[in-house]
Amino acid sequence: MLRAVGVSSMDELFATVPAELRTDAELDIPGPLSEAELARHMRRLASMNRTTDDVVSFLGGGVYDHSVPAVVRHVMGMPQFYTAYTPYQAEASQGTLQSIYEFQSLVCRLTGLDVANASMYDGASAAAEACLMAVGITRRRKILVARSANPAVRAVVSTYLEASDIDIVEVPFEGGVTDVAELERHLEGAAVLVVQHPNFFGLLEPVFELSKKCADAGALLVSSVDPLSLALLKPPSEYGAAIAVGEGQAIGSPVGYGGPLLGFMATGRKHVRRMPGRIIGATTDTEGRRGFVMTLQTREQHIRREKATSNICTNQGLVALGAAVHLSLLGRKGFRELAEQVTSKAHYAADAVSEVPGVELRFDRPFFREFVVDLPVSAHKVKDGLRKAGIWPGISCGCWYDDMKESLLISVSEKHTREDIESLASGLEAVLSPGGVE
Amino acid sequence: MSEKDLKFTETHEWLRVEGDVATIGLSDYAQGELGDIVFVELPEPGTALSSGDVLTTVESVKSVSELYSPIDGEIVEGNAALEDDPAVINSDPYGDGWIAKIKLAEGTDLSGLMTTEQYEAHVKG
Repeated sequence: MLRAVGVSSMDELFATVPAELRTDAELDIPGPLSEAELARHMRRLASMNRTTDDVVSFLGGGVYDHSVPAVVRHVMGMPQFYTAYTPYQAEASQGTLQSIYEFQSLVCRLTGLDVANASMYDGASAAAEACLMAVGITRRRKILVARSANPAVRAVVSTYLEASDIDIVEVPFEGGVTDVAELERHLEGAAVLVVQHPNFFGLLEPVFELSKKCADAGALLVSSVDPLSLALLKPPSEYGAAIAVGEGQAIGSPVGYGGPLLGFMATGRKHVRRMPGRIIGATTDTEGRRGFVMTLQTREQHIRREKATSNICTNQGLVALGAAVHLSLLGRKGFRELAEQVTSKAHYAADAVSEVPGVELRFDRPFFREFVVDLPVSAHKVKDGLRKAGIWPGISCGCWYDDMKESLLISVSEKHTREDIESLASGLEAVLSPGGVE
Repeated sequence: MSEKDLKFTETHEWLRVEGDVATIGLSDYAQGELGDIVFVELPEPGTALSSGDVLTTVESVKSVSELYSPIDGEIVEGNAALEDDPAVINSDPYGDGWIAKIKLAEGTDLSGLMTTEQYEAHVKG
């Protein structure tokens, strides 16, 4: 390669960098490996991983382990999709634009809202951008975030707004869901309330009531939703959410190590010009044939510069494609069946686990795919005990909620068998029995 | 409503003053340069403006243009008809395509603005 560009050494390649900025110290990194050596090295590293194939995992909290048909990966793996970057030209790559348009259409259908964007990095940044959108629409400088929303999402919203003069007020929960009386105390002058539905604890929030309170105060409602829950629950459009966002990983993506994820955002037509991200529209060409085009680009920074609605100019194209393919394979019926299976298994597991002496369901409210149990000892200890049995029983809530150190968030999917759930229950029983936990 | 009664700015806004209210819009030359206008963000009534402040933005399909207030004053009204049909700025820039009405601040001096002839020379030159 050096020869191809006409230099004789690596040093000569960097000759334009001033000498005082160059180091001649040896870099402390191993030497080059052949392809076979490298492959062996990487396989060794990979074999140190434990995945949900090796253990029985009840981890949830925003990222969920579902069965994804092989066709999804196959379509994603087509080189035209796999190797392409986000389009920047408004009309090029019709196939890519069409697939994004279909993804957007599916998000609209699920949320009941008029317009969706081409996707965002993840549900957390989508929530943060929705806050900025609400601030832009209402011109108010205070936002409210439900404490029952995913802690990682709340942290990202904080980070996004750190350098601004926008106040963030956390609304506490009572009995596991957002406290309406507390909300009312803070609503004046608020641009928006961000609520997660179902929330971090798996519980259904009183969204109709929250929406009404917000509307009375002139604040917008942003609903952060679990896309699978939309097979069963009333969509955000029905309870007056101005903007719906959420994490789409569960549709078509593996758990990964928490990524890549998939943010989606949808809103009503009247707010479309404030929406960040790419938007693909359908149109006709000069010969009347259907085509797809990046539209409403005057929101974006390559035209508006510092006055753009947001600086985001990319999307999660490949992951969005996977979600669209998975949804189209499931179809309306299959999507609902999946949600029903997930819910019934979660409720079966909640019953099974509550039978274990010392384990109690913490919140007495309707839940979707995950639930919180209180244990007689720290959840961390229980998790450690169960890890030895090849079970990851869930998320220790004490990581983010100081008063919930004995609480465990257990998430169930259609992949879990009766045996898996029974092994969780018996595993808990074993760990909680005398001598089971150090 | 003759074009001859209008005053112009270098940044392609026109004004027509009646009493203490000025009607403001975009010149025919500017609308031609912008192309089909697809969206106008109307200013809020009651907003106070100084000369040179951004009055509003006007969007065509692939560009955005800012309109500047030529005077100090307070917004009385934005042209609501532009919400449904922004392209009237293209078809009738000096009539139905008006954009905002501003109440002039006391003692406003309009002598710095151009006449129609001066503006036309400015655009050609």
